[in-house]
Amino acid sequence: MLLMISLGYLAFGLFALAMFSHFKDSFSRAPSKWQRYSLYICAWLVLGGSFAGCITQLGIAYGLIFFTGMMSVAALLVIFTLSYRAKALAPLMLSSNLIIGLFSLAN
Amino acid sequence: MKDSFYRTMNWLHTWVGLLVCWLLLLIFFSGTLSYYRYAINLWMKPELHQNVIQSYNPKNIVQIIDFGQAYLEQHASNAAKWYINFPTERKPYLSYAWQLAAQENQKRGKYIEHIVTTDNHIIDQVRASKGGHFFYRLHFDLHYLPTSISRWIVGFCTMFMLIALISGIVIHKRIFKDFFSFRPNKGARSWLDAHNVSSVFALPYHLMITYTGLIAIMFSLMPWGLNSVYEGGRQALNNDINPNNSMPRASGITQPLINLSTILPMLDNVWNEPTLKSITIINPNDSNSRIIAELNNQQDLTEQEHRVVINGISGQLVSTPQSLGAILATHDTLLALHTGRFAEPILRAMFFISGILGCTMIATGTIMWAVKIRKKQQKQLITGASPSLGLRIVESLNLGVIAGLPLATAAFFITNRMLPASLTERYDIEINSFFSVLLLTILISFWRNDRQAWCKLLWLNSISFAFLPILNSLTSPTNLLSNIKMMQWQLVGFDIMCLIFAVMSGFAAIQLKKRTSRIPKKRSLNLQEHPL
Repeated sequence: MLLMISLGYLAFGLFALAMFSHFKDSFSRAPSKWQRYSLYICAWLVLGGSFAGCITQLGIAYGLIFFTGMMSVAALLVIFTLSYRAKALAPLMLSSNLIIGLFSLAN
Repeated sequence: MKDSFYRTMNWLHTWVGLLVCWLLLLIFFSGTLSYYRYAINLWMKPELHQNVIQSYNPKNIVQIIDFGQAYLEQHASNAAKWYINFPTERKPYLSYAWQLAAQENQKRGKYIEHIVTTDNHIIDQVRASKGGHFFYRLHFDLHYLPTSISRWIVGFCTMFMLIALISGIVIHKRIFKDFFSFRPNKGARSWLDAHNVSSVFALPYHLMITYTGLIAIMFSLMPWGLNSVYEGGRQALNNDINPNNSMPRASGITQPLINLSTILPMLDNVWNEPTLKSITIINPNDSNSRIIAELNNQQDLTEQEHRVVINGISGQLVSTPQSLGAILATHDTLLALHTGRFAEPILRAMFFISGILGCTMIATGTIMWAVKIRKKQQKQLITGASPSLGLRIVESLNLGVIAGLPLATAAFFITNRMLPASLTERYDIEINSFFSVLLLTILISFWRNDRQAWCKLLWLNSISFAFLPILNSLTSPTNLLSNIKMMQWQLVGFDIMCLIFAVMSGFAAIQLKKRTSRIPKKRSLNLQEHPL
């Protein structure tokens, strides 16, 4: 379940980075059109992946509710990171997924 | 046309939201706390903090039932009902309970519950605190009001909230463009951002909880269809929906109850290795005795009570759970979504966070209104004129309710531990302490609602909540550290939530103080700014 939340954090982080101003806040430079487009596609793919994970792991009814709740929490975490530590967004997105991913694999 | 439609929606959103916001905040706040009502119950009964919490173990179920039957025979032979309540995820302890027959002026007989410890001792003296059930009932009963009136008021507020949500979606032009925008320390813009973020991020939750809330009280709001079809009203409908509810009355002819553990193979046939929630015996040792075994629904998205009814004398199966029709299943699912009983700890935490976001949405909305109106009246205020009556009322109620609700909650918890454990009137004193503190805070806020008053009340909140884990360690056999060690997560969660709220409240007070010091002295003398 934690993996689903960290995937949601990654997806919403990618959505935020696909936006011009948030990308600039995080990397101190403007994104190219191609970068924005690929971040946007990646965000949808990761979100789709976390949706599939929720449904397969938790069943259609519980998984759907969990996915909806997860999106609220993940987006909230992204906005807190963006508002107070914008430059840490990308490292946090990757490291949280790496740590939780490895932890899930170990279990 | 487009512009006037937008303006109309804007007007509707503002006034529909503002009119009911403080009551709505109370309803939302108490509803959010209700997600943890059993954890609050447990915290408020320190007698249950040691050697009580356990999980369901099918291996010793026969022993539990046999011991329970013998115990109830010995202590409650004249009771109208017996209960063996197994540990569940939310109520993690085993108890034997009974209900006495109702007296003439009573709707229900007195309910007595004895708790079984993990080393098979019985705790028969537990303080009579209403605990988390207070917040649960407050959510839709508003405590002091008659039920019929409170349901109408809550229904009215809920309908207003639904209108405010829909009109809010219409007027939010940059819903995706500003999706991740939160600009702190920018005055009215920051409040708008906070309002948008708390609304949009949990929008599916807000829409779901408001709509299902209306469904939950639909028979109170629109009883006419039901009353024209069913002569007995709601009770008749319930009996039709669930025939298991209608039980025979006691005949008065004494007959011995079967050995309760003999029903277990029968339950295995119906459910296949079930996790039981409870076994209830109606009219024990009477010829009309019935045994009801109820399944623990666990993570099933349902409010339905899955019950098997067995004749208590012959041991024969009377009825098994019935499958629901499409309409009833829809109603059942919507109610289950509202109550969230099915949610395991992580999803429950998400529900709780969404509830907090709902409270934030309401609070920031009403603060934003006051900030904007004060800005509009700036010119008059600088000349020494006093703010309009509307603005004064809104600003006072904002401080009184937003800072008062958590403070009243802390007072409710502190009173619980300050009163002697054996006090019989504690039930009312605890609840009255909640409303007294809320009322007092509102009165203070009408007297003074400037930045200093906000700071002081926020600090008071912070100190009160930081004090709760300390108070717990002084008045309970366990404390935060020992609870972590014993993995009593419900109690750990309560203390940690108190500490988180204390830090957040303190942080808000410090930020507010910093803002006061940032404003130049000359400017602060001339400018009649909103306290936030």
